[in-house]
Amino acid sequence: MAEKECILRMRDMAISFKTANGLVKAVRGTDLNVFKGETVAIVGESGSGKSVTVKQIMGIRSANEVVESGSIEFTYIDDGGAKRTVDIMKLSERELTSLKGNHIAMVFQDPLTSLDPTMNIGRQLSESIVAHLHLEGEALHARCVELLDLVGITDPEARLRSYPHQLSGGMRQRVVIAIALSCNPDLLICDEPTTALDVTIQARILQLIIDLQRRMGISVIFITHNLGVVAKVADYVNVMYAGKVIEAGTIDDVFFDPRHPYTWGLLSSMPSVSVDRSERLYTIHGNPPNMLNDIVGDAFAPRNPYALDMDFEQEPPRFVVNEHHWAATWLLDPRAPKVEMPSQLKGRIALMKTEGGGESDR
Amino acid sequence: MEKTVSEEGFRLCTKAHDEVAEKEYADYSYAKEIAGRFLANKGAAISLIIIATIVVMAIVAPMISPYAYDDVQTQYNNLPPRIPGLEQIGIFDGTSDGVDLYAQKGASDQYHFFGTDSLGRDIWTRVWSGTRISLTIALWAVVIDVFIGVAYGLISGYFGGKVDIVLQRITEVLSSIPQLVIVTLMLVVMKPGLQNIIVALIITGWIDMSRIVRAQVLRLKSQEFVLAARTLGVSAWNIIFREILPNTLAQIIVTFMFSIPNAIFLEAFLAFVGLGVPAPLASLGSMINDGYKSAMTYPYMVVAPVVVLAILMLGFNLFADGLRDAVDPDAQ
Amino acid sequence: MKKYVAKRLAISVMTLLIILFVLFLMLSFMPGSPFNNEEKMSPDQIAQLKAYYGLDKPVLERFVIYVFNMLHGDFGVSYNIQTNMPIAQMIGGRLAITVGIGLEAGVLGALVGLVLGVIAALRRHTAWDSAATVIAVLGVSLPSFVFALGLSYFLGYRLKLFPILFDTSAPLSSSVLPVIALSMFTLASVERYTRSEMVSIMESDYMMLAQSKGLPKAKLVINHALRNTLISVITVLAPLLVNLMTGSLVIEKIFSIPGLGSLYITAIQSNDYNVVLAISFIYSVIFILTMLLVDILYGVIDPRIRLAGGRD
Repeated sequence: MAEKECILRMRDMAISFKTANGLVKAVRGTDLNVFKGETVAIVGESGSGKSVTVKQIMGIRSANEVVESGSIEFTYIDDGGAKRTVDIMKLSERELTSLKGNHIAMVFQDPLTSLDPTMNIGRQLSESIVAHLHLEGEALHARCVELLDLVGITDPEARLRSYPHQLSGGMRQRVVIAIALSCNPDLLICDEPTTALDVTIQARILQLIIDLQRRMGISVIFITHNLGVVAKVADYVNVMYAGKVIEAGTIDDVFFDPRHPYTWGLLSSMPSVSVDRSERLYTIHGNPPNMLNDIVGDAFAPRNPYALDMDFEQEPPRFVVNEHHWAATWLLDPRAPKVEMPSQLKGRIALMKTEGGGESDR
Repeated sequence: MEKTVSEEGFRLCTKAHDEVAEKEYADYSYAKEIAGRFLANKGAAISLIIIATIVVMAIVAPMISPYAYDDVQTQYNNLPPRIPGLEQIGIFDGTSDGVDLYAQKGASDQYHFFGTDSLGRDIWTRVWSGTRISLTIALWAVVIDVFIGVAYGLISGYFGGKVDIVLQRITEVLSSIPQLVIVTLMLVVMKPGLQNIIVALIITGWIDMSRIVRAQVLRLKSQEFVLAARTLGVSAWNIIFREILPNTLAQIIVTFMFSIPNAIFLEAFLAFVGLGVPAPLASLGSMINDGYKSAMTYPYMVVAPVVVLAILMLGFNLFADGLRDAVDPDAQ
Repeated sequence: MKKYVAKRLAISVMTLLIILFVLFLMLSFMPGSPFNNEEKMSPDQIAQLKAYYGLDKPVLERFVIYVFNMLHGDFGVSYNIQTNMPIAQMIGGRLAITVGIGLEAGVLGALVGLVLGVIAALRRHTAWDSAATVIAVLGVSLPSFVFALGLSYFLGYRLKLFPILFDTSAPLSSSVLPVIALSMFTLASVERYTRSEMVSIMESDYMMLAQSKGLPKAKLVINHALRNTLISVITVLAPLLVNLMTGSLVIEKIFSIPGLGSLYITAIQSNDYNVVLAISFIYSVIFILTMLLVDILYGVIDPRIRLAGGRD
């Protein structure tokens, strides 16, 4: 594998929200790396901070948000053909505007509310094209048709004149994807793009994203809480819990050799069809922590059946497992007792390896 | 950063440690939260003071005043305001264009805080007893309207089907006739009087409340906790009173608070067009009606009731606003 | 869309007929006599008068005759304000004045309210926003008397900027104060609602998507936020209309405007049956007509209704 270029480097992102009950520390120091042409997944339950982290890349902030720290280095080829690297967190409103929709684009979660109900598809599709590529008339129209075709919408000419409410959820999401790709972005961010769709449509949209990514060589950041989706789509996985990434590695690393008890929990709780019927469904005990309070030690400790005393006192640093795999758990410290992943999970992974042998041919 | 840690820290934790999480979400009172939000809102807090002050004045002022609201003393008519204490500074000293009218009419021993009207009646007393009447009318009308409106909305919303269709048709037609017209005609037919005004206000005021209650009921009806109650065999009436009503209470109270200034205004308005409480009773509206013609020459006759009416309505509106924001905080 | 309009139209007409009938009924129960000096007349004379005016016929028959005449522009005659004067004539000019002032006030209030609301939404938590809130609260809470009398006194009497009483020979300058006073409630309500709608629209999902496209702020606000806000605001125009009607009566009285409202008040106080009926009905017509227009306008602007698809 040739040395890939890192196009996005996020370091030490920390975001808090001012609420009526106090300051909620939603993101507590997150790092992220995205390489060219790769799909990076961010997995975590609701409230883990994944959406907030990624919205920073687009400069989308709520009124009560406070950026405590963080830098995002983004490398791209500008309109003149030169390679540039900027820190997104330091850009002005105007500079950010020329990046958004143009070099970085986003696909949102709920297609039913993502589109302006009073504007037809054609107009909504052409907005970025007009703003960034300055196309008009025939050229604009042709591009719009081309885009709708690209995302698999039949009869694109007619669809351009339709309004969002006349399209199904799946079709609307395709339109959203088309809008995102309209200016050939370097980076595409997908925030749970299939969560709100029917299962059958989910698969199709997912496949669409994979195909487009391969074809256009875009880098993708994919947020989801569904590990099955991660397995299909991602090259690299970041597992987030309570505002921090607690394990990261390639797909093979994280699925076949998980090290953090939370990741064990996640993998174990995936319901699987092929397993022994008498097996109980696994759940992770307890609830995520209240982010209003300061967290001492490992955030996952209270729910961790393998917690060490240390976990309640000091936050675990990152322990390297191999060149692209690390986990932040005291269990990896040489002084820690040897704890193995639950046998159930071991069995599952063995099964996964034999069944889905084609895991690594991407 | 290398910290030398003892071997001990690396033992598996043996104490039961997952109950910690549960404690964080206990201890929460809905009512306290709303009250807290309400009082934090400056406008709302002020409104509380305003309303309290006015109500107290309305009750107490006529009682302790040396004049009665219908004390006609034509020889002391058209006197400007005179307030002890302030008159030393030169304002409200009973003079107009330099002439001491109190002395002129032989009333040097009298103090009329708001002056007197064209029949020599003390305006201060009349304003506060008028406020009493305005408040009484408004409260009666609104309270009864709440009962009617809530009942109507609950029934129409919960039972749905034909019942709902019929009931809604009726409200549609009724609400198509401007409230103004209905109330006016009713009073024309029934002749103005304290009770008739209240009845006229009642007839049209329930519609808004019933709409809001119905909308809430419809929304709640399809939620799962109602479905759960039904499956358990809870009777319709029990569902309405135990499940649905408590959840609509907040909306009901807010609408109730908004209806009060509405009723106060309507009454004042009716009085202003001549359909108000009959003389010698005074309501704020009838006083404005009596006084506005001479607004240029004797402004105080109309300013007093207008200001009190304005403050009263402002107070209730701020209160209702604050309540609504406290109950349902939107993006503020 | 056509079906939508037709349906609305049909309902409106039906409602009007029902209203007319109800009004008619109510008035037949009015105590007191429609005639002046009834006490001085002999029963024979009263009977004669009644026959002359067709008052001796049963209610239903009178109603039908009334509707028939009305469709020909004949509203009957006044009994005691100006005996035997055709009501249509009495109302004619006044209707124009009242509707004129009402329209001006409504439009002025809505436009200014819209602008203020947008500014307040875009400049949240600044001085603009606070000022706008103060205006909104005052405008909504204070009854029209306050504005009418206040403006009249300060701008009219004291500063002598505008005339205090309506003058048909100088309709423009003398309608300034009444129109402003009447528009306050509309202004405040529209402003408030616009602000809150706009704020929630600015935080909606589709605004987020539009922002992520890297569009300049002005485009975002005008093309997306404003359009959606306008649609929402139209839906709240109805209660404002009601307020304009009650307000116009007050305004007409205070500024001595020879409009429909002052005639209405006089008719009520002198028990002039026919006039009261006619004006009540006209108010209802104005009300329903405007609601109908607003409904149609809403249907035209909101593509969810305009196109066969209907709403989600």
